[in-house]
Amino acid sequence: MLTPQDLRAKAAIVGIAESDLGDVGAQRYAIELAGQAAYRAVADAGLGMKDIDGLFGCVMGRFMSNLDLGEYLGIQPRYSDSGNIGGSSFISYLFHACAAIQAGLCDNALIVYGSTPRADGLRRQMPTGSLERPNYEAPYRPRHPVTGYALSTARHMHQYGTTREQLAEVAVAARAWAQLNPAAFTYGKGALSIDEVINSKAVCSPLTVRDCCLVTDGGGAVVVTRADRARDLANPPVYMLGAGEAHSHRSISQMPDLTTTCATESSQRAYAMAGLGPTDIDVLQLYDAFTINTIMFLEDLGFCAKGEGGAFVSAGRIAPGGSLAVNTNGGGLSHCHPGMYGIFALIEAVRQLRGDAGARQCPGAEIALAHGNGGQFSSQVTAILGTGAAL
Amino acid sequence: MSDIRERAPYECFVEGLNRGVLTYQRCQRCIKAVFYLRTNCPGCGSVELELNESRGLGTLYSSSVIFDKEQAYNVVLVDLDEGFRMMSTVIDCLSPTIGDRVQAHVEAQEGADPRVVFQRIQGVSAC
Repeated sequence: MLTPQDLRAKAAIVGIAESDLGDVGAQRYAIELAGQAAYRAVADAGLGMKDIDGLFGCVMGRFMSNLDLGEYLGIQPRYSDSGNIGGSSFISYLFHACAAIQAGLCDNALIVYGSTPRADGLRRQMPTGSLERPNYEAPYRPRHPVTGYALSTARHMHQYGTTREQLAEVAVAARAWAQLNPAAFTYGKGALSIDEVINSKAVCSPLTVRDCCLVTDGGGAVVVTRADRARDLANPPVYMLGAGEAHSHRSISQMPDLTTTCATESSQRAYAMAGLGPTDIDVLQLYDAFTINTIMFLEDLGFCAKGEGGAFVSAGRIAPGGSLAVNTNGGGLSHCHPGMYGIFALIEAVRQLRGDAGARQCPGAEIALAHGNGGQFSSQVTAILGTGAAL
Repeated sequence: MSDIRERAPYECFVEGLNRGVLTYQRCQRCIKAVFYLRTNCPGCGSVELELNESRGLGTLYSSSVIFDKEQAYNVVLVDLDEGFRMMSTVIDCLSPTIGDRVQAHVEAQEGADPRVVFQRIQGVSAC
């Protein structure tokens, strides 16, 4: 019988790619960005698309995403997972792909994403899907998903004294990292100040527009294969050392405690599988849809005590040059965010472990943590990745 | 009280609203307060869910003001004294304070089912 520990270092990420990002234009579609990223990632791995026998994907607006992806890519996978638990889905797919590989259900798994909210806006394409019923929240017109995070932020400030300045530090650090990433949407836009974050347009109090992630087009893909095959491929393998997931609610009014996510559970599962803890992590990629996310995840993943996340991020601690490297690509706040950011956290973690992160490279990074979030703090998925030296 | 097992939960909730009351369920097996209304208790799975009328008294758990193009309005989470939480809005103040005591009212809406809104109980924070 398979145990969680049996998954440690049995599969590795061998291919990664982002599609064209940012503003791709009204003539381009989500499935095309997904396809572009998929072919790039498979080529990066030194494989061919016909080698892919496990498919894990989500394409925005496509109700049966994997059917679209399989058709578009010309593959007929023997293992297929298109479940959607929000933006964390891609890190969840990594977890599930490793389990499927270990069980012999597939050998080469492809994880894919594509979404074009900006292009959809240009062509006035309405978001798909009607109101989910019954709905006890809709009469109050919450703005999804920002209202849920704003309610969580307000409660965290009330309960722990977290300040607007501390929240702004997260956005300031993300922008600074993005200035080191030529692919970032805000690359070249210069630094952001704490005052600018606090005084920008109010969206959903206490959050301003600079506390909120970008809305960009984009796609990404990751190739995962058996560890014993990974060593012969084009790039140094990045091993999956530990993964864990959890979800606690869908609607924000059903979240048990708005100041604590079930990342406490997902991370404990991942640490246990990896045999590692927070002090072993060299670089973190946290799903920063809003500034409060980074603060609460640093707490829930065990990097500081509950309630101390605001003080923890102060004085540039997570910015370039700080003592803990967090969201080195600029994150969802300053790199890109097409609606589901998780795959980009994974891709950046791998880049750092390959030593391919250019001006933002964390020297000597051997162990990375990528953490995904979905819904309104609803689903939490943690993955711990390591180089061959970390085994 | 009508028997929820023989009726559709959401229909029961709307029927309550039409009578001007906020309904919730009390699990007869594990005593958990259940809201929104369901067919089974999310705590223990029991179908023994008694439909109850809330007194509508609660405490503000969190609050956010949404700055819409046309208007600003608040969305709040209220912890009702019976032990359940719901999303709503406070109508007598744009920016109510966490911890405020509030009272539920049922408000008619044009072209939609009535909804539960809250007003602060006098004597609490300035707005």
